[in-house]
Amino acid sequence: MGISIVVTSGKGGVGKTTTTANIGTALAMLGKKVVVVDADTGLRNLDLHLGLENRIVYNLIDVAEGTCRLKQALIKDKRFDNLFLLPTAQTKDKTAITPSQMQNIVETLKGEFDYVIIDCPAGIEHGFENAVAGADRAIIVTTPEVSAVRDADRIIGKIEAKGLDDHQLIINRIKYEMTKKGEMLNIEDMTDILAIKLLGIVPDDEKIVVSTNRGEPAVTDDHSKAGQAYKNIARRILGEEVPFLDLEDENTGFFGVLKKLFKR
Amino acid sequence: MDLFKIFSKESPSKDVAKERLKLILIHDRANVSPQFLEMVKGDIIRVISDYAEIDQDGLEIKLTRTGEQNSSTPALVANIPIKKMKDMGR
Amino acid sequence: MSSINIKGYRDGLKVYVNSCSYQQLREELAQRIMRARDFFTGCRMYIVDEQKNISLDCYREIENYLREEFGITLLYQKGDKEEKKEKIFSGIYEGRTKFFKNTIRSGQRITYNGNIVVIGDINSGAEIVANGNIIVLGTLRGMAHAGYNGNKRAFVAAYILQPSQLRIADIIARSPDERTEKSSIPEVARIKDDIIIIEPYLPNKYL
Repeated sequence: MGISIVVTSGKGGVGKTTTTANIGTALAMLGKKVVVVDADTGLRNLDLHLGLENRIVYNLIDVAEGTCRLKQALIKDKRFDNLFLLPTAQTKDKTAITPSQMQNIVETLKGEFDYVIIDCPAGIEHGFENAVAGADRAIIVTTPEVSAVRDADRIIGKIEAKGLDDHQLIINRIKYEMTKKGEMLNIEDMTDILAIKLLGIVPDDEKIVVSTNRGEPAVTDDHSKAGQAYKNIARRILGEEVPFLDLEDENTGFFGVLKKLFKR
Repeated sequence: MDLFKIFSKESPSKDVAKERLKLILIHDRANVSPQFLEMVKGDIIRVISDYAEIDQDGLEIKLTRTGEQNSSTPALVANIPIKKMKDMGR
Repeated sequence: MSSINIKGYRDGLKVYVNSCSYQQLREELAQRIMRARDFFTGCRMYIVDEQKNISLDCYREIENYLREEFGITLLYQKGDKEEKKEKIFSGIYEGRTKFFKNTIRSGQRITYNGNIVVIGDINSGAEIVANGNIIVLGTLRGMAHAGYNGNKRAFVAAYILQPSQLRIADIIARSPDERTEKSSIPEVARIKDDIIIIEPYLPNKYL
């Protein structure tokens, strides 16, 4: 039996879909059988992040309505044979599926896959309820902005109220230069406020835009810093102890390398 | 770097952000509505008025946290300007 | 055009559902029956829903409603071969056509039991489903499905044909993963030897 993980944030635009696509791909690269599920009915985007948008025939809503079998709606990734996408409908809205239907589908997927990663829509309404319904674990994505942290807090409260206590935080788009100057909330500030276990830190990386443009998750690019961070997160999900990326070294280039040498 | 910090008057914006967030979250988590605060205010005025003459317009009541640093326990703080104490209480 | 057409046959009345929602169907059906209550009471009725707008649950609701209110027996359309053949929309040379004069955006889905002409673009994430042909006087970026109920001679034509996916009858083609050169002239997609082919549109050469 596999594990289902919902990726959520409350606020929009903090990188839920990017996170879902990258963690899913990274887990597949580590040999796990993975399905990523888009729960953002009506505003689907996970297909774009994986570059699978032209392969969609059936979707989550079709499965819920019984128009097709679950297997027919699963799309195999073009790079990894053990990675699948369950897209949702673009022309329906979030009330087209109920939390209990969603739960059933996720349960069935858990029988087939090691990891079921669910991309939650922004907001705390119907779509959120659906996405969380079948989840065993939650990953909360936030960015170092007051609005994102506040919304993350709200979401943590919501999922705790549902008894979903296995939750961890990913801080996305950290700009090291700014945190150093004290112009951006740092990691300590956020873990202090949110009082939740940290799963990973993802540095702000312009290459993410390029990855999304091409429909190739950053983890497939060996030179991407964000990609490296997501790979580490995937390994932590598998239970490995991976130290957090040392952002200082990443950013100060030559001197960072020197410093590292002297440390040893 | 920290040396400069001592001389600069403005605290770094991330500290401002953190302080604001902490206060906001106390409100959010306590789930207190403005109506609730108004009700509390009304009741306080009623009770205190028996003992003292107070400046009702100057009365301020807000939800904040307890005095200790970094505490996230909500506390209700009221600032009640007293014009004159009434005699009957004494 | 009204959302339903009712026609009499030997074995009962057939209600043809055009593109409409369940709500519209129910309202219109009730209205029509009310107008000639005596005529309808106790009859047998089929609902022909070629575009499958009506879900099974809705069918059951209508069935109960008709039985309780008017004593009408709703029969399911039997899927025998003759019926199916009859159902395929054949008016691709001449037939009903719907025109849209705006951009069809992501999340919109247009279905029509006939041909569809869009004067504007069809954006990525939009879906155009026609039982006949689809003609786009603009850029087609979304999904287009011509000959939805089985007509393999239906075609899709667009000024700029860049769909994420094309379907004609029961055949599906997707855009290539690697970037291809854009065609500067209009293109037409149709089925040839059971695969969808795309040809440049040259005046007087097509059809």
